[in-house]
Amino acid sequence: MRTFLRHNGISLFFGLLFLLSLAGQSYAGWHQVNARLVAEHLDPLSWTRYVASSDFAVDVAENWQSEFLQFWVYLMATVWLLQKGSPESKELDKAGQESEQDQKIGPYAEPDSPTWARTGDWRTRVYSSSLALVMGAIFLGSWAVQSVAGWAAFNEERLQQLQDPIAWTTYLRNADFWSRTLQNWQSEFLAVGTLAVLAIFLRQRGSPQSKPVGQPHGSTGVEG
Amino acid sequence: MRPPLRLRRLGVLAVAVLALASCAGSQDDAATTAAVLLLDAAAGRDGAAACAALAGPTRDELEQSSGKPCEEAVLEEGLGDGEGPASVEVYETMAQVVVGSETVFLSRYDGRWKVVAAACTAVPGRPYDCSIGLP
Repeated sequence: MRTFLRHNGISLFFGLLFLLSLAGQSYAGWHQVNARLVAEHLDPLSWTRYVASSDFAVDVAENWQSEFLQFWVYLMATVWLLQKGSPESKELDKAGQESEQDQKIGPYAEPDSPTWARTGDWRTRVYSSSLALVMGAIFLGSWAVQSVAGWAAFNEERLQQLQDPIAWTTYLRNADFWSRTLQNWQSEFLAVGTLAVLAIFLRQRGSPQSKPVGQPHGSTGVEG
Repeated sequence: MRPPLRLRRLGVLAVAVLALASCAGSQDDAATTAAVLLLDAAAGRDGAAACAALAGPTRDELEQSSGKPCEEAVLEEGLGDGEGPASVEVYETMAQVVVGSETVFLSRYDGRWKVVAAACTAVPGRPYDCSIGLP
């Protein structure tokens, strides 16, 4: 058990943080929505009713889609783009998808390489992009959920304001959808860009996201 | 012989989808019924029944703005009858029912649909102007 906890610390820690913050978000969001409903002389919701609502769903989904987009863009961009001095970047002569030898695929796979890395056929091509495919799929799925839940929540608000509801296709062009989307995107892209640049000059001892404390600023693609 | 596992799972999924669809359909019906209740009561000059269809805050606002009991005031708002084709849109706790020339807005109070705004006139590009409404 102790070994399991030690070998899976990152996933367990962030999984727990996710659950705690999701629970906290549900509680805070529930009170926020009810304060607005009461102010408008409408019936407040129970907590269980709130977490099943489109209000809660859109608030969760709009954050999920931007996080997975952030990592998808980061995965893809760092294949080709470089940042001199950053541990987030590959070395300056390694832009691109790199050689089969470097990537240990096909004839260069090792005995304990993943099976699909060894075949060298379409399965290797798919597996070579599997991380981006899954992250991209989760992004698109959660963005779709944001669009539907956001549309329902938006129309609920329109009816509260005695306005006609709008179609989903109209909502996709509406400022509410794009404001939710872009306010999340700007912060995600700022965060990864900032980390890539700050890590050139600053250090965090022991973190794989940082260069070793004594590593020169000009060293690229070196992690601590 | 039992069907293969994947078919049983598809069956469970189909039942879940149908259940959700029937829930949505029952909400549409309930909202429409509540709106028609108000309009039929007003057309039949039954002020008490009409007021029973209104949400509490809407009733209070009607009495305060008219200076009369709800049962009298509601019959003076020129509500249309409950005749004509009905269309309904339900989003979470709110609904809009259009019956003939009447547009009615409803919300859920204690799990039941109640009218929050009626006797509404459409204003292009702006919210409906409703003579019966919330404070």
